[in-house]
Amino acid sequence: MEKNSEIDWSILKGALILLCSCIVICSALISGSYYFDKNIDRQLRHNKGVFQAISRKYLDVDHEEKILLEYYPHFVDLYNRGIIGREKRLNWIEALRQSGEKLQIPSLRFTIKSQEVFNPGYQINYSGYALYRSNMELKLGLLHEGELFSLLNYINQTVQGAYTISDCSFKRNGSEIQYNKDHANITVSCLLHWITIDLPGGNRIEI
Amino acid sequence: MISLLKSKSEFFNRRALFISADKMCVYHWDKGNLGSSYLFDLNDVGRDNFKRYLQESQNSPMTILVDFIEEEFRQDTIPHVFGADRQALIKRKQSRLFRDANYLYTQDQGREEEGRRDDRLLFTALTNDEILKPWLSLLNECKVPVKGILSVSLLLQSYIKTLPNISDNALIVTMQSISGLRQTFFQKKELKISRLSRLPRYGTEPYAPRIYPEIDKIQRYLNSLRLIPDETSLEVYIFADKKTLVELGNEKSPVPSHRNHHLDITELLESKAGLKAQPLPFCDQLLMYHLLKTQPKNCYASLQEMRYMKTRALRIAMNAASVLLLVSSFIYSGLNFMSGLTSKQESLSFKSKADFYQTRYDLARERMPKTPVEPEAVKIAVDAVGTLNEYKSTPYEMLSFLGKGLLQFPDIKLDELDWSYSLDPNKGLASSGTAKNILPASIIPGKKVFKYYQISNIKAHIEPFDGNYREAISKVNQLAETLRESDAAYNITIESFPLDISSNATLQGDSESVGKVALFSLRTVIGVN
Repeated sequence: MEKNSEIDWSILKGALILLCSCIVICSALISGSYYFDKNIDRQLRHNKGVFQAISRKYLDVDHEEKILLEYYPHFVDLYNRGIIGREKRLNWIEALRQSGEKLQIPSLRFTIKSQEVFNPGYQINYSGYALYRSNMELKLGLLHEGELFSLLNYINQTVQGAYTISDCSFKRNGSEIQYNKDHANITVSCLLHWITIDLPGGNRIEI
Repeated sequence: MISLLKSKSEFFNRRALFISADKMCVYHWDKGNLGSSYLFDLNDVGRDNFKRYLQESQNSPMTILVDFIEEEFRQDTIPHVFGADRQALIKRKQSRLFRDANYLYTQDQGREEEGRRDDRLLFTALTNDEILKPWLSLLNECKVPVKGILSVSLLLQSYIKTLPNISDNALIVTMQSISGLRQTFFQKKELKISRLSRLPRYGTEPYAPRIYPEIDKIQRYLNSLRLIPDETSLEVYIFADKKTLVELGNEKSPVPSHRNHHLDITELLESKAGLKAQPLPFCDQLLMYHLLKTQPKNCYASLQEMRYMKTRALRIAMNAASVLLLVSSFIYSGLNFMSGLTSKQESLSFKSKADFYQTRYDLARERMPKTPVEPEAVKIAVDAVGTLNEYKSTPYEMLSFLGKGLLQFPDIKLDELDWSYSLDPNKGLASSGTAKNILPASIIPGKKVFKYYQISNIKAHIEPFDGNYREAISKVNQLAETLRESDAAYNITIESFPLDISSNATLQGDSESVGKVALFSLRTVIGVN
C-alpha cells in the first residue's frame, strides 16, 4: 500500500477538483430533479383528487339535490333550535325561569358549565363534525316527582334543544307528604347535558 | 527532435523503453500497433535528449525492457509453504544467491515430482543497477508512470507461448540491435537460463558465422548443468531476417545433436503485426510489439518506482468515477425530469377537467339552496341528531317502571332514589364490591341486550311496620319478583333486607327496640330500546 507521503497530490489535484465538482453537480442535479418530480407528483395527486371529488359530486348532483330537498329544512330547523351550530343558552335560561313560574315549582336552581367536546359511548356517525356538550346541574325542590317531567316537557316544547340526562337523585323531605303547592316534598338533583353538533376545531356553522 | 502532439489521448497511449548497456530506445504504441521509436545514447547528451523527450511528450505509461549481460538466473527449490513463511524463504534465498542486487524476481515453476515435492523456483536478478539508475532517475524526475521492468529473457517466455509447436527443450536465439545475441533456454516452456553475448556493429561483418559457435557454447553449458536429458536433442529456434537465415543455412553446424528452426522476423512481424519491417536480423521490433501489445506484468520494478503508475491509476479511477457520477446523475435526473414533465401534463389535464366539472357543478348547484356544508354533511348532521335523540334519556322510564311495581305494595314508601343512565348494565357494581364474576350484558347467554340501561339504587321502608320481619322480607321479595316480571327489567337485586339474617351478619337488639323500622334497598336495572 502506498503511503500518503508518496502520493503526488499535484497529479491528483485536477482529478480531485473534478470529482468534488461532479459530486456537487450530481447532488444538485439529483436532489433538484427528485424534488421537481416529487413536487409535480404531489400536484398531480392533488389535482387528481380534486378531479375525482368534483366529478363524483357532479355525477351525484341529482342525489345531492334530493338530499338537500329532504334534509336541508331539517338541518335549518336544527340550526335554529341550537342543536346544530351555536348553542342557545339564553333560551335554556329563559325556559327554566318561565317553567319555574308557570309550573309553580317550589324551588329551581341551575348551574351551567362551560362547553366541552363530547364523546358518546354509542355508535353514531358524525364524521366531519364534532359533538359538544354543556353540562347543566339542576337542583329542584318538587311537590311530587311528576313536576320534573312537567319541567322537562316544558323545556322540550320551548327550547327544543337536544339534551340527555345522565344522573338524577331523588330524596324525600320529611316523613309526611304535605299537599301545599309551595312545599317541596322531594329534592331532585339532575345532571343534564345539552348537546350540539358543530364543525371541529372551534369553527362555527353559520347559515 | 520530437514531434508528438500533447493533445493526443493519454489514456490509450503507451510506450516502452528498451535499455541495454550501450543504448536506450523508446518505442511508442499508436492506434493498436507499434509506432515511432527514438534512440538515445548512454551519455550526457543522450540523457539530456531523453529528458527533453520526456518533457515534450505525452506522459503515458512506460514499460522498461532491459537486456544486460548482468542478468543472472538460478534454479532452486524451497519447501512447499505459504504466506509469510514462503516470502521469508524466498528472501533468504535471494539474498544468498544475489548479494546486494536490488532488482530481483522469482518465478514459480511447479513442484518436484519426487521426495517431499518442494516448490521449484527460478530466481533472477539484475546485478548491475548502474545502467538502469540514470534512466529511472529521469523518469522519476519527469513523473513518468512506470508500468514495470522486464528483461528480454522473461519477455521471451511470454512470447514463445504464442508460437506453435515449440518443443520441450527449446533454445531461442534472438539478436537485439542495441544489446547483442541472446540465447534463452526453455524447458517445457519454462525459462531456465539465458545468455547474452555481444555482436559486432551491424554491417561490419556477417552474423551467421558467430551464431553457431555461441550455440555450441551454451549447449555445452546446458550439458554441464544436466538440464537436457541424454539422447534428447536440443531444438534451436533462430530469429533473424531472410538473408541471415540463408547464410546460416550455408553454415555448417558444429553441433550435430541439435535441430535448427529458422524463423523469419520480417514475416513474423508482417503476419502478426502487419508491419513492413526493414530486412534486419534484429528482434527489437518483434519484442517491443509483443511487450506493448500484451503488457506482461512487472517483474523487477519496486513500488517506489511504480508510484506514478499507481497515482495515474488513482487519477484515472477518480476521473472515471466523476464521469460515471455525472452520466448516472444525468440519466437519473433526466428520467426524473421526464417523469415530472409527464406528471405535469397529466396534472394540468386533471386540473382542466376538474375546472370543467366544477363549472358544471356550480351551475347545477345554483338551483339548490346555499348550504354551509356539503349536502352529504347535511344528511350526516340530521341523522346524527336523530341518533342523539334515540339515546336521549330521562328518569321517566325508570319512575314509570317502579311506579307500576309499587302500586301493588302501597305500604312500601320510597325514601331515596339514585338514578343513572349507562350503556353498561353493571355500572357501579364494581365499586360496591358485589360485581364479582359479572360479565358484560352482551355476553351473558340468554340475556336480552338493550340499547342502553337505566340503573337505580332505591332506599325504601315499609310503613306501617308491626315488627314482623318475616312478612316484611316476604314483601320485599314479592316487590322484586313483581318488578322482574316486567319486560324492561334487566336485573333486580335486593341489596339489603329489612333484617340481615344471613349467617355472617351480627345481629343485636332488645325486645323493645326491635321492630320499629323495616328499611331495605334495591338495585334495579332496566333496558331501553
